Amino acid sequence: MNLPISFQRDRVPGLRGLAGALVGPLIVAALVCLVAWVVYDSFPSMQIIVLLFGINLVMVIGYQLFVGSTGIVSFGHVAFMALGAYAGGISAMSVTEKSIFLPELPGFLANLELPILPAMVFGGLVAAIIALVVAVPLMRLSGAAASIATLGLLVITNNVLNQATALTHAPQSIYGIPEVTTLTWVLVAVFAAVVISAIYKWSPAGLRSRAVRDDEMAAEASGIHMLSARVWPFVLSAFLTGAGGALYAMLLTAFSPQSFYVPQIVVILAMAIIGGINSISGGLVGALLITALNEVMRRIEGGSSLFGLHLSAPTGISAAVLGVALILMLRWRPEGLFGSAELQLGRDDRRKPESWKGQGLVEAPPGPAVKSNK
Amino acid sequence: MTEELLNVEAIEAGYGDTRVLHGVDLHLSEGEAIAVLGANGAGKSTLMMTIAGIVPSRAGRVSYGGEEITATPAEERVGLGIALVPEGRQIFGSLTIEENLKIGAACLKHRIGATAARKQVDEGIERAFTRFPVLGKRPNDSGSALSGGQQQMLAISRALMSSPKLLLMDEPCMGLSPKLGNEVYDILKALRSEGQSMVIVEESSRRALDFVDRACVLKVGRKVLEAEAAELADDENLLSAYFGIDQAVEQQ
Repeated sequence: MNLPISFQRDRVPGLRGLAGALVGPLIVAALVCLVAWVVYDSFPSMQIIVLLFGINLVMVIGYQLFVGSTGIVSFGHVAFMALGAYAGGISAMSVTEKSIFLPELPGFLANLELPILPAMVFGGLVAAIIALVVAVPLMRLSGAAASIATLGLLVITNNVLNQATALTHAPQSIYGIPEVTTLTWVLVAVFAAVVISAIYKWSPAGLRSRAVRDDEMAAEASGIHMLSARVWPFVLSAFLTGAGGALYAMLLTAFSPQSFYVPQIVVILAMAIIGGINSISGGLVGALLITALNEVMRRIEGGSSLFGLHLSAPTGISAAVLGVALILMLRWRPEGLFGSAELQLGRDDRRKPESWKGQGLVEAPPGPAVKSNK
Repeated sequence: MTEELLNVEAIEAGYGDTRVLHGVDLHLSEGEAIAVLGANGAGKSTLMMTIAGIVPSRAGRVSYGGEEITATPAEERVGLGIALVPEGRQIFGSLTIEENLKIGAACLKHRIGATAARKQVDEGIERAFTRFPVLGKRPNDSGSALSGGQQQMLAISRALMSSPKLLLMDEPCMGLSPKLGNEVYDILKALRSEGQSMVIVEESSRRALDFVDRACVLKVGRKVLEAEAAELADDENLLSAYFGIDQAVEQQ
């Protein structure tokens, strides 16, 4: 293989500057979106699935932005999806529909009627603001404690949405959100999320986050403010997830708080884990694989003929297969398909770890190699 | 004497219910080097981390350059000029060599502005690669690909990126072969000759005594001895009485 293209770990992209950082993930995004577009165009019955898949891509990239740069596995990101869906959905709903379905809305929201793009941004902003408020206490925790706290965030958000009937019409479904999400908007959102995520990943702030992920104590000793190295990826990630939630709201038009709970985070988590939790490219491919797997299993559940073979399986088999896929993945390739690699332009010129061995600290003199005692 | 750089007064610190330091004093003038010796569990690393601000002090005072910094968070202390090379090196394994160095200079942007910081980062990386050419050969390799000795070089270079006035070295030879340990000490000697103030923590090594000005001995969280380095180096009985140095080990 002598192509000037390679998969490389978290490292400064070969081409200088922003372009180098963006090109790789954008190529992967373009390929994945091409698959989505072809399927959307050729199979009318698959359109809704492709649109949901695109929204999941946004979710996975948002999720990966936080988990990849901080190393904290979040179980709470669906809370931001829910906040974005309600905030974005309500902001897009027409004033008349609001007066029918949500008569108790506070004045500011009751008079708001946004087109799709501002509604997405609004959904993202609401999620980001809530994230900023909860991040300050939450991100002081590390490891498993932080993960469990994010689960707590999901439970609390779910409860609040369930009780805030004036805003959410819960526990019943909310209705009347305009169905304006199109493939174009979904793809725009995917590319925007990839660009934001890649810029963050290779920015000085992203570098500081990854340093804290590697070693909290050493990062602190190097002069990094630990809290802000975690808070900002959390907020940025909540923004992307919230914007994805708003797209979801404007696609399904009706949903309840139960649409955003543990089963949804399992799917996002599976996509990120299978693809490689530190990699944007990996997240995109993981989402594609899980969606394809899910679709195949769903068809088998419904009983269908595949290549002349009649297949049928008990309901729930798709969830079981997802579980098995996760277990196999964690057993055989725990770092995910891509690990920490991104598609990057330029050859992989890194030295293999072994070739570092046997070298002295200071330049080895010419002649016989310096033999290390280690 | 010259100007005071670091003054630690009756510092107490610990983790949870365990108190590790029971009132330790440490004084360092500008340009001076001091060795902190002591057995395992004496509180040497805790003392370093308290000076660096990573472990909060429960009582006592730390002042630096005449100003009290007892409550100053760790990341701000780096900006003031205190840099710690932690025990066990603790480099960022998934980051590249160059990124590791950049992290060491994270505080500069705050201190001297973005443009000046960028210039100083470039110069700092240049200096590190001149000092350790082996690091400069493959700046894009990840830190975890380096051997133990090279990681120590990277950890020292990372700490030097912020141009610290005070360098804290926590057991710089831990886990290294005696030969590599000697090489690390050569580097430290070179830094000393450039006038770098430093505190070096060692479990029981006379190597440090060769080039520091003073040394103190910690025992279960208390300072039990402080003397001129030359004095201690001459009086082997004194040292071994305090922490039973195995002379055989020392001969290496």
